[in-house]
Amino acid sequence: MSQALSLEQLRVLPGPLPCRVRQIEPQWIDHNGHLNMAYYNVILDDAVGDLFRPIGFGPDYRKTRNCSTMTAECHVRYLREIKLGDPVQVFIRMLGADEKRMHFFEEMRHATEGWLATTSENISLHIDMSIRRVAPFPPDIAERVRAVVEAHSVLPRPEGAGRSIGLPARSKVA
Amino acid sequence: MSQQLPSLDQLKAQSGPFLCGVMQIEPDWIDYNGHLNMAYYNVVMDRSIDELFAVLGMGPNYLKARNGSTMTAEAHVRYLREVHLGDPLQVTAYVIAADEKRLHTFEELRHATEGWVSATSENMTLHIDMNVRKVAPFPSDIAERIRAVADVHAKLPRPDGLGRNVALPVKARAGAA
Repeated sequence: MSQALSLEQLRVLPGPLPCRVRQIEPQWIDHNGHLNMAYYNVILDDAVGDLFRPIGFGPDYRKTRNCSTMTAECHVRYLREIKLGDPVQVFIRMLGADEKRMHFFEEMRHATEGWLATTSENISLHIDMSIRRVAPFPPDIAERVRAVVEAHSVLPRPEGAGRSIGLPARSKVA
Repeated sequence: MSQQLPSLDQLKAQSGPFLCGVMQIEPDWIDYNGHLNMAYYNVVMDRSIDELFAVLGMGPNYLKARNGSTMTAEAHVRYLREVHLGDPLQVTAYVIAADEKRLHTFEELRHATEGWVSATSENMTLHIDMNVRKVAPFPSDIAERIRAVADVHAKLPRPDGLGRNVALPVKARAGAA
């Protein structure tokens, strides 16, 4: 998706937003012969654009409003290896938002076989680029963000959301 | 890293977190916001922690010599301050905990000369038997080296930001429409 959707279209998004299918680049493969952990975020970050453009954070947003978005926090779970030649597709759902933050969850799947390779939970901040500080969304954008949050609020909470990192309790005792 | 590993006694005699080499930002890691793109923090962090793994005995030759490797299971990055092209970066790494097949680490990415923290990354790494590409216990000599470093790092203050989950502030969630 390259253009902003109407508010009505955002309100009736039927499920997690399917991003376009992406291919693995050869230089992203590491000594283990699989997609290196770092480059998952290249794909996941690029895919977020497929959600942000329909909301209104397209290429013109920075120019016309002098605002942008920046990632504050990102938690990736690597569930299954991806190899060169595997087509991948990211699905994104908005978990919540306030006046200046968005909380969203990405699932990266094998594009044709459907299995889950990775999840990524993120907080993104809205930034006023004239002072490079966090700032509230403009009202029209806030309404559009809210429309997506509400459309996605009927979906089941994704498995893995809200996790922190730690050894299993059993291991910590040993 | 050098072929000469520090001895177990040398590992036990360390007094601070593990200091990785200074790294430079590459121009194609800069995005349309004019700063290091969020994805490439993990390139810096992953290359840096390889230096710690090498000291633990899991360096570039480990895969060939013992057919074992490590894979990341989970990574949680907090982006605290922007870095730009020309900012030299240096990672400080902590072994937070370990069991027989997992390593829980924490990294602080700092401006190498000014010292401020740009990002932190908390990780869970698995030891893999590459014959079967499945999780497997560390060999006993490696496990001993990990324990030595974990024991040294256990005496340090816990780094700020450890154990967090990703969430909106409670106040914000309550107020969300």
